[in-house]
Amino acid sequence: MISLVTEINDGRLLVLEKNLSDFLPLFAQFEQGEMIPNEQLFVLAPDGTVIYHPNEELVRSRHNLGLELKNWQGPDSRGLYRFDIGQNNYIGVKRSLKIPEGWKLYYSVPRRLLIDVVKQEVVVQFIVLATAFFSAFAALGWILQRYYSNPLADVARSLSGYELNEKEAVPRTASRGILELDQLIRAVNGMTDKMRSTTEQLEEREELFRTVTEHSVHWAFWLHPDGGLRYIAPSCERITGYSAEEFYRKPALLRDIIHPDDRTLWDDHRHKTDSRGELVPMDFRIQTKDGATRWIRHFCQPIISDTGSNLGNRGTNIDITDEKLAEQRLVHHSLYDSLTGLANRDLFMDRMSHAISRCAREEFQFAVLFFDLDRFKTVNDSLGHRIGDRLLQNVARRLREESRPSDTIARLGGDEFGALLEGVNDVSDVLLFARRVQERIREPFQLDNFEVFSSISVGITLSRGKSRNAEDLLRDADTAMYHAKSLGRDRIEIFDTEMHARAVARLSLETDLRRALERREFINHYQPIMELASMSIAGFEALVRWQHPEKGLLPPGEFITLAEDTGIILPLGESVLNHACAHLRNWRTETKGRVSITMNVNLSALQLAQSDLAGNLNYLLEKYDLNASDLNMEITESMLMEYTGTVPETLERITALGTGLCMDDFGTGYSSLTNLRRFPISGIKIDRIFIASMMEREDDHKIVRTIIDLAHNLGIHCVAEGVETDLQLIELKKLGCDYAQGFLFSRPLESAEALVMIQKAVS
Amino acid sequence: MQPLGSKIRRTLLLVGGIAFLGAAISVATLQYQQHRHSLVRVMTARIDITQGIISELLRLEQARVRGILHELTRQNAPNEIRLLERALHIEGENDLFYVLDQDGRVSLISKSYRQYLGLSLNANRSPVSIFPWSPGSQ
Repeated sequence: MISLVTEINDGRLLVLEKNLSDFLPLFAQFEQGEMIPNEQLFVLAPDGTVIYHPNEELVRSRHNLGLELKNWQGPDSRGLYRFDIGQNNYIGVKRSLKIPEGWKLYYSVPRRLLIDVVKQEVVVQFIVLATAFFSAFAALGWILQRYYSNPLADVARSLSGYELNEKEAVPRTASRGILELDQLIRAVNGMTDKMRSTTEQLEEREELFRTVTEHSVHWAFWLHPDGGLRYIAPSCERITGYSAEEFYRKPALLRDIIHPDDRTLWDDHRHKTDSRGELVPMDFRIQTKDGATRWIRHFCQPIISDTGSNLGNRGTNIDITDEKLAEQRLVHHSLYDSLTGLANRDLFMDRMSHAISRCAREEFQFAVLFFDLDRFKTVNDSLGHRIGDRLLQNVARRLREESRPSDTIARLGGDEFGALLEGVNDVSDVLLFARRVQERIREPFQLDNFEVFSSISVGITLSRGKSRNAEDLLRDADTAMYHAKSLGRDRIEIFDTEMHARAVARLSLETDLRRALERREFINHYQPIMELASMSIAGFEALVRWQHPEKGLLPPGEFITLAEDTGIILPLGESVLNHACAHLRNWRTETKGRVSITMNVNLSALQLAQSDLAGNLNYLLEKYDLNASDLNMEITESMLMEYTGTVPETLERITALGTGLCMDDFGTGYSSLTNLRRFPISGIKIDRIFIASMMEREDDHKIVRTIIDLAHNLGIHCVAEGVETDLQLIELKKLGCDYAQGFLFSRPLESAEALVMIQKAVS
Repeated sequence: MQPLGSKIRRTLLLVGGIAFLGAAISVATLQYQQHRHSLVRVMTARIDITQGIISELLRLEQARVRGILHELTRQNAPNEIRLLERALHIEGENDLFYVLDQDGRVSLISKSYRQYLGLSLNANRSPVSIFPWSPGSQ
């Protein structure tokens, strides 16, 4: 309802109350002409009461929308309001009416409507826009790809696959006519030309360098200042067993492979090299990958650049293992005996010199022992040098086994050994050692199929003696040993001054002996051998004498042993035999062959060992026109025992000539019946000691009788030596002895005297 | 490391995507603004028309009132009643004409509404439009 009031002139008011329903057709008409979907037109009274609303219920209930419409926000610059009803967003416009006053018109639509419309429009536009953009950028991409990317890719591909033998690194067609690309390709091609030239030079130099280093026997390397490895030659693998890659991975391996005993030396050397910058060689050992030890000669020098900065150290290692081994072998050979592995004389002397020096500095004593194998020459001559060498090796082994680690055992030459015992307190310790050695040497040696027995003579000298140098000490020990040997072998003798004097005298005698041979000072004397049955001269025994220019006529007992030891016995024996044959021929000639006498000549052991003895004998028989049976060779049992090698054959050859063989000094030695059967013995000579006492001692008498009976039983003759009395002669005749010799019949006579005696006997 | 072609493609895709997004947002915003503007114009026009129609309706009613008022000034009391009844009869069944005296009491009203107390200006229960008397404006 709306009231229209108009004042009448008389003060009254004309009121027209008009029902609002009259407006409804107007609004209905508005709704029917809906231009926008979901649009709403509503009218509110000033108090907010709904005057018109599409929802008639709100109008009928006079709903008040005033409060709800207070959240209208705006208006914006275009007079548009925004408001929310519940979850729905709206936009709208409003008007305030002046007539009727206070009325408000509201016109709104859902905001979603606007968005939907925009969406529909925009989607299409978006599609168009996207298509346009895609086309534009695709075209742009194609252009970039074709004109820039592809040419650059061609350049890159060409450069990456660039080879020196290609004419051009990059084909010019790749440029697509672009100036910058053309310039780039030209630059690249120019650069590759230079690179090709430089690369060829570098490859040539690299090949040269590689050839030099890889085929070098030396092992070069370059260390950074920080210890890293810049280069190492592949030859390191050949020397160390470790590959270059292993060294690159672990540069510390250069030090780790050094022998632990040499690492300090290495560190010192590195320090010196770094500080002094000198190229100083150093030898050290390394342990290879397979555990072997090799010797390296190391050279190292810092590398300083032109600007003076330190570029590290350049080192060269040379494998000198063979050189070192050769050096060690040389040293070993110069100081050690190659047969036995013992120290040689030089090293022994050096050790003695050190011991002497130590004695001078402190309270210290030592002993020098000189060993000499007894009868080693017999073994050597009879069993051969190979067995002899084996014997020496075994003796050396036993000497080592009996010695202390601090002792020095040496082979001084031949069958001579030496021992240097340092730090001895008493001579008894030395004697204990020497006896222990003797006991070990006495044990049999099993050499191949031979069981060899031996013994050793020992000479000892102590440091407290007067000897002042090693030579004197060794000489004294040698003298003591010689003394032990002269006393019967397998003995121990300690040096004293008297021994030294004897040795000097012996040396003097040896010198005289050699001179005597040259001066023909040896002469033969002949003692007659009488046949007891007829009491006639059966023969003579040649006995050598030395006509010494100062000492006069010396008997054989004073020089024969020395002659045997020095080997002079050989020329001496030949001289005796030669003179004996010559004199026998002379006697025969002088007596015109009217007497039949024989000549007994003593053989030495060395002569017997001469394989050509029978030949020489035959030569002399022919030379002096003698029968073999005119000679009797006298040997001793000991000679047969010592020489078993070629001796039997030699004896067989002698007897085969027809020469008699007589066993001298029978009864004093082995008295072996086996030897009498084994060798072609034709006679036995009873030693003078039995003859001398046979009349006084029943035992000796029995021995003489037994020997005579034995000879007869064996069918050989028997000769008694040293017969000096008539009683002895009578008794020997009684016992049936065949021959006798001695002062009873004659002293040894000179050749001329013997001739006179023979002539007398003939007459 | 990527090939240059791939790099170009990726760059173009990125730049194109960003440009497309920018353009799309611009287009969408522009479209929104444009549609919003159009909508505002339509809505403003519609509400202005509605406002004009209301004003026109009221102006017609005012002319009716003026006609009755003119008759009232020429009639005596009994005629006034008839006039009002006739006006009432002529103008419409939903409209009610009556006259308030100087005390605000209903002095003239159609017989059918004799019991009606009339408009209380003080109470102002309903929208009231008071048109000033202006015979000259007839």
